[in-house]
Amino acid sequence: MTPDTSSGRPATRGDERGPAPAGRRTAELVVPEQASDTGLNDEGGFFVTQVDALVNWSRKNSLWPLPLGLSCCAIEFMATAASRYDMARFGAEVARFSPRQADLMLVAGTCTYKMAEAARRVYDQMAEPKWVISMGACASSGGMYRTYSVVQGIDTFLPVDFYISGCPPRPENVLNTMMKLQKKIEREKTLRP
Amino acid sequence: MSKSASGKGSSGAPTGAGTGAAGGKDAGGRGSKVGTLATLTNHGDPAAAAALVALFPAASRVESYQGDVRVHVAPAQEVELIRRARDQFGYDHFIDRLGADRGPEADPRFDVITLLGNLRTGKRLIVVTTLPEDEPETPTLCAVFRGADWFEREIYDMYGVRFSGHRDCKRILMPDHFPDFPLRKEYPMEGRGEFAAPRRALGGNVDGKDGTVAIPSQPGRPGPPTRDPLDRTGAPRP
Amino acid sequence: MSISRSQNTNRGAGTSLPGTRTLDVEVAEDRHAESMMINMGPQHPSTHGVLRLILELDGEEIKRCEPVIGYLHRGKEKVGETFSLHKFIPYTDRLDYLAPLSNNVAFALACEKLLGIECAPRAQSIRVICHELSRISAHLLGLGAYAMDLGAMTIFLWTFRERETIYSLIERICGARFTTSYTRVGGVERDLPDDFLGKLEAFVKEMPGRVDEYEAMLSRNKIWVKRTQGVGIITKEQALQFGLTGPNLRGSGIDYDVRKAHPYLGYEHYEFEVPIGTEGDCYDRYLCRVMEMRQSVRILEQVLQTIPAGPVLNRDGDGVLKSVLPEKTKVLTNMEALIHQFMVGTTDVHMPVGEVYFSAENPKGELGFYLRGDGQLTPARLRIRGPSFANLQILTELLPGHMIADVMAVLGSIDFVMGECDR
Repeated sequence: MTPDTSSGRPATRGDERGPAPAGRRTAELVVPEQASDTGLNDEGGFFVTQVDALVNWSRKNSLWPLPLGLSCCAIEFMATAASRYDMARFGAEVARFSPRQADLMLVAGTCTYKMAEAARRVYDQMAEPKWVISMGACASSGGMYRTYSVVQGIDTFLPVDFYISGCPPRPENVLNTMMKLQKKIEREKTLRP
Repeated sequence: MSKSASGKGSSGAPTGAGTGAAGGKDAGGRGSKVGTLATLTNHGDPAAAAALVALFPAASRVESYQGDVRVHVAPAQEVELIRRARDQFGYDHFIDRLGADRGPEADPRFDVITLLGNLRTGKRLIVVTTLPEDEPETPTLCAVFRGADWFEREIYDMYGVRFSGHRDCKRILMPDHFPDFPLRKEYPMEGRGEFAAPRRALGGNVDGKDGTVAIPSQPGRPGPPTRDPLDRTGAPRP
Repeated sequence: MSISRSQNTNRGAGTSLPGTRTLDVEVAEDRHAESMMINMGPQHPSTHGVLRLILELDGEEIKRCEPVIGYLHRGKEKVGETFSLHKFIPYTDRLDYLAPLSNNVAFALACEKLLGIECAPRAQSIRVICHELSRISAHLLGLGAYAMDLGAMTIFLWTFRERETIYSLIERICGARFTTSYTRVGGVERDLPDDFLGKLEAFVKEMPGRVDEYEAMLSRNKIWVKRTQGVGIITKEQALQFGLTGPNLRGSGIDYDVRKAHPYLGYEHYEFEVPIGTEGDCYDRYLCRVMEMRQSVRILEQVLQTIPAGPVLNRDGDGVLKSVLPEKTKVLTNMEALIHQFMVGTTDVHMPVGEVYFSAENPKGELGFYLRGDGQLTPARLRIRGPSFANLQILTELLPGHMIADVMAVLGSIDFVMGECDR
């Protein structure tokens, strides 16, 4: 059920703004152009929506985090993964430290310029689909360190899906953000245009 | 594998005994916490410091503040003085080696301060030497204490003080090619924007536009203002 | 074992079998002479933070090790010269971020030494509670992470269960689980809540049983013993030369604990023992930490008996009003108190002219602050002597000769934290 490109519309979901940049996923509200109840329109309709829902469901419930534990927020991440707050309930059972095996990069802690190169390299090694959560004030904006060696926000070199505020954020906050990320993943369009 | 139970627990002998500290055991009985300052201000041994300085009469003096005893010495004699302190006076625990900047107007400008501990008497000694700004160089302490290695690298990294005879005095905390010495007084805390060029190599063009990041926002809602976060010219953030 | 060229050449028609051909292969003389460089970190599960080790390996054996640090250098000493003492307190939380209250206590004492201010008696006991609670907390995490690195994940979950209890206690004291910023010059920020001591007593009663559980799992566990005994032996001479402190120093047999050598906060009144090792290997350091947890519980029991009543900020004495926060109730009613609140909290406090060094026995070792004032509003020099900076340096001498699997054992037993190493 490949989308029909004879009309000249781009096949990918990049639409009129141009092709989606590599490695970047934006979430958009799904408003199908034609509500079709026969499922036999150009884009595949009902069928691809269901396949998409299945794919997204499986992805969101098995997010394997890569904790880029840089400083204090890593300790709260460990507390989130421990038995009281238990991230494993959400499917994030294994914290994979190898980027090849992880989906979600959780940058927890202060990123210095010296570390930024390594962080970027780790991100590049992750396979699609991948998401980034910036945990804590230091990762989101440099935090309390407006100094010569601290990157003022990892979004200067990494695409961030969610920012968690807090210094460090409570584990409940981290779990809340992961749930929001799950909702965002639900809305993603893989097969749909 | 027949190792019998492990570390023996021993009550550490109060090595501060005999100093006549007012915070002794009988000050108001158990639970009375009168006089913490007394136990904070008896860490130095002025007699030993005076005896040490007497061996190096040129350009040496002893000062103290709040019980901490400082020995000032000329750079050329610093290593020898510390060696004597270690071998003759028992200061064989290497605690710290740090630099300090007295300010751009001070001459000489840079201090190199070494902290030593005597585990038997429980006393500490502070050795200070001061270097001029135009040639901040002093012999390394690594022959006396191997642990001075990284401490001296840090002093070089932060102040630019060189240590002759060091096996490899390169930067340790900052990236290797950082062009400045951050802890000098004239260097601003926010930095001078040294990292703009490496950032481009990091793939900072996340969305095809330099310096901006696409944040998945709902249509119609603007993202963060476009700015170069590495602009450290002091202009306030928009 | 080198394959020389001549073996593989079968020149000459007379010697080769029909249907075969000769291969002219050139092989290195001694292929085992090359060593392999492996980079461990800065992103690695077992490096406990952003430490990078460049290892030169000969097969499994480490020939050379060069640690690279600085990946968490946040410029705290520069911040210390830019901000006033009170503004610097939150930065001290993030030094050894496994035991934030300990750092707060050490820094407050260093400030008090410089300014010549006594700590209020009740606050001294509260600070001892904070110090020992965070010592237990840091050792628990050190033990849990160490065990997890060597494969025993259960201990990690068990120690975090206790840490959550401690977090709840700390949250009752100051509102934050983790980055507490609790101490102030002259005392602590606020008094203990009414039910706190009861909860602390309950914790103190159950803690020895928990430590027994950990020891039951590890201390005579064959795998644990084999991986930690005889590994990473630090001699006394090395320990003194490199400036090791804390369990790393005591594991090698040197009896030095800052709480005994330079007592502060009334530690000379408490009865406790300092565990000293004999062999200086990883197992000894592990045992030192476990036994220190037990001694911390013992100290907490004594504090619970002897904690006095009274204010928690010392506002008596000369020069104190300019450095110590006034009572909150007076701030909104009394003009002078309001002015002092602004002076101390928002603007800066004039530093005296002089320099001091103060160190406390933190869980990782001796955390020291070298403070120099020159009459200005901010310190002229604020040096943080992080124990992990000295402790990590020993890796250059310690790791060569070990196998690469021993690196995890050694790193876990040194128990460093990059926050206070890189500052």
